[in-house]
Amino acid sequence: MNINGLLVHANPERITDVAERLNALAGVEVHEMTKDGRFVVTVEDVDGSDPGDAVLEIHQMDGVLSAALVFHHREEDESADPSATRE
Amino acid sequence: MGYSASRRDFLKQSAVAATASAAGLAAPAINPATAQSADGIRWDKAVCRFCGTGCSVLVGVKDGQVVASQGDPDAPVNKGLNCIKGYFLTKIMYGKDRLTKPLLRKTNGKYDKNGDFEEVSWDEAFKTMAEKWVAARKDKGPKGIGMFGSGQWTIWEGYAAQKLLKAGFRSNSLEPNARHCMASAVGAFMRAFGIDEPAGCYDDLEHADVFVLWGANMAEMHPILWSRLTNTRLTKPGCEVHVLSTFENRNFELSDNSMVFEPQTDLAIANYIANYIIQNKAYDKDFLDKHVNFTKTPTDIGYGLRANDPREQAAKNRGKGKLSKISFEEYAKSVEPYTLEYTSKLSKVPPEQLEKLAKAYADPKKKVASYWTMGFNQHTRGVWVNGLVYNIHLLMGKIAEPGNSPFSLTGQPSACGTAREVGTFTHRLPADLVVAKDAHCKFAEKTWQLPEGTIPRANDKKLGKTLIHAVAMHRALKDGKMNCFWVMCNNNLQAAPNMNDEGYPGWRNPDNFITVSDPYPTISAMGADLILPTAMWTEKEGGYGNAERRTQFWRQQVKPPGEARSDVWQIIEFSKYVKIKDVWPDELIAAKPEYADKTLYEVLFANGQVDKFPAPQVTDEAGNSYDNDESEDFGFYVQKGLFEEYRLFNSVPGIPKKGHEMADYDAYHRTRGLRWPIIDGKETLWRFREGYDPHVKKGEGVNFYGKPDGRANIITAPYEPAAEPPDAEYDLWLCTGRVLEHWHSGSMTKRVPELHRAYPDAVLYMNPKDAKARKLRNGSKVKLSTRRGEVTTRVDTRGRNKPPEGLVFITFFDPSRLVNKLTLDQTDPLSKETDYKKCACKVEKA
Repeated sequence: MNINGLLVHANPERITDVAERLNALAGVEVHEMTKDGRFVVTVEDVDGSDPGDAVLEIHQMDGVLSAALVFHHREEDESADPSATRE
Repeated sequence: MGYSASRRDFLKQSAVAATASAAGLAAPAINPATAQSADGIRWDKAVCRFCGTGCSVLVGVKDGQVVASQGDPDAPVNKGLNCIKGYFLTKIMYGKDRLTKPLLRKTNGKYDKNGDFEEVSWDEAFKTMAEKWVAARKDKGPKGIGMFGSGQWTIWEGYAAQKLLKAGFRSNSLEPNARHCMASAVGAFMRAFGIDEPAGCYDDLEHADVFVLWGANMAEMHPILWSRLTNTRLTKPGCEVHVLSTFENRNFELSDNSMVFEPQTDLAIANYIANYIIQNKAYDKDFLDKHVNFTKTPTDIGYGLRANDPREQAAKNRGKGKLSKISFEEYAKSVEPYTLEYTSKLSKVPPEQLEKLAKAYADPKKKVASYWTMGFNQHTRGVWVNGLVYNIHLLMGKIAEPGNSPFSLTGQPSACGTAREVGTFTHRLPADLVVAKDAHCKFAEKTWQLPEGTIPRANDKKLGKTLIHAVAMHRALKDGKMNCFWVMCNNNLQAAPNMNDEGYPGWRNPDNFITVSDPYPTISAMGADLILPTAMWTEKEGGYGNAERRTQFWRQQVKPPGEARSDVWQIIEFSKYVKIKDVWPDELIAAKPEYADKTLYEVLFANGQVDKFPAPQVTDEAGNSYDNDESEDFGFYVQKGLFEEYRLFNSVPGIPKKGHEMADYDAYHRTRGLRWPIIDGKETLWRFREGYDPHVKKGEGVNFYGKPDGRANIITAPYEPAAEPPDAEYDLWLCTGRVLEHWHSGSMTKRVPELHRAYPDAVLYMNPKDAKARKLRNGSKVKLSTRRGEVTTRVDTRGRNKPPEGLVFITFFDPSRLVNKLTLDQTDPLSKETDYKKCACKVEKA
């Protein structure tokens, strides 16, 4: 299990459209958004995917100005063994 | 958060609470690390290993491995935020190809430059190296050997290297990779203010009304600072962002005034703004009268190329930079040619946009923060152009107070703390002292308990000219003037310019012995003769200094793999293999005969100062214990001893230059860093301004105390063309740089599978019209070539970077596309920093 909080800033004129596209990404959920373009987002693993991939995608999303992680948690029973990354 | 909620829901709620708090939408959330402490993970603070922002991260360790990281909610820099590279910090130390043993090229059991790498002991590695170093120092003098270190060295690693080279080997051949990165910024600080590093700090990101980005792609290279800037832009009424770049990048999404300018014309744009301020009499006359001198710098100074290059021979004032005083009227006249019409035509920026930018600076009611990074520093007129922005801020008095802040961002985590403050440049000593000044050398010699004359002077009576900068080191290796080179904590074979003509022939010159210390088999490691495996980041106790003068420490969190050892261990251990009499002349030894048979280790490190603190049992406030491998090995608290001796340069009475005062060693372990100068335990947010900086006395208002008369320099400098503009054959500008996913040459980020996957290869960003004219389309395979070499890559016409017609952009991280085969070894003649942003290239279908 891998759960992350993500603070997203988006162009205020495009918040509805950005929220839609964020919610459409697998494992991504918008919890709060403000008129001035601040988004509280969670990004979770789906079928073993790393949420980092989704965060990288959000970075390049049209209308997104900035994306910064606030909270990450990876539950150890799944992938805490760093040797898993030695591929 | 009851027990009825599932674990996933609980964690999601925690994530939402922490994020809402960071967004300013809720009360501070619980510490995310604490929320997870049930897992048996030990959490402690560290500084991020990547850029110069200096984010504090919480590092989670379990069973001797770093298993988790978090943005540190208690950190003033990042306020709990973490960027995507920071998110993957847990993986940088665990690439499958970590080096764990020293490797020496050998044939039939003996060192052979053309042999294959074989595992050797540390003892054999250092014995071989010492033999080569002593011989080269004897045969070729102080420039016969050289060390190339890093803005990623911890503070004490840089300090130990400084002592080893300048005092031990009596050689000024010490440079950091920060020469390629920050040297122009340093040059401009010294010329304008007489003291290095910015007056302001990151707090300006919330105080400013106007942000101007001059050649800094903050959205990708400084994502956390960009997040703070974005938040201010979106939440502060009237806030505006101006972006200048030679191509459209991700910053443009937020920009209110996006300007794509012709390369090199930033010089003209900055002068136009100064001219606008003067023509409209918007300048702060009182500030100028009290706090500013007007000066000019010699022009037509060349491009830092080899002396036989026709461009150098044509330069009237090659390499000259001595300032001469002028009047305000003369200064005003010097910027008069930079009219709106002329500047717009030259820069290709529409006049209304230039005027909008000038008005923002000229409005006395608006607080302006200017940011720049490599667009300004990697520039053949880098010192000039840094200075031209200081000119604007000084004209308006918009400096050294909240929100008014010309700010040079740094690219490496300790470019400031180590390379600049410790002074690991050929010409520098700690705390802004320089080897060109006899008094500074004498002070260092006294502090280090060495006889007078130990440190080579810049123009030494006996040793001759002893300074040698980074690009000149590669030339000296190629020419056989330097025979031993130790590259530590960087990947200079990949990152230095003109690899084909200078770097590679220098490294593989049969006369030369090249040592590379690295955690991974980088291009540099593979190009070396001896590879030393390095303990990285939290495998050692460390300290970094970031771009806002903040010094931050961390404890050793885990053990390094195999026989890997930290850079500070390697430097100190190597010093045991060389004796004073091997490298000092008799007349110097005569002043301290008792040193003759001592090793460099005994004189430099076991000197009663560095070794005065006993090896510690390191613990945190919660009582957790930590290793300190170096201290255990040498038998004293290595990091503390080095830092406390370093403080004799910046924090005790009677030092040559005030203003760099630091807190005692232990204070940094207790805090999330402190910004120097630190007086009476208090940090300084804005320097030079009464009420903020304790060095400025009551009634002075502003005092630029780095200069003897307390006045900053406005330095006029004109637009001059680039060294290698496009022509009929090489018809495009080539600009090189970075992307979000990769840091520098990719030694670490290429080993994070997710980052590698997201951006596996260097692509060539190109304007669709330029592509079409060459019968190329998005994804076409192309040959990119310059007068020096070629690489094969693919065209990207739709990506995140959108160059104008006439310019292409490519990243340098990719070891399978060595972009520095293409670049020209041109430097700013004053700062000696390479310009990686401008040379001529052509693109053909491959």
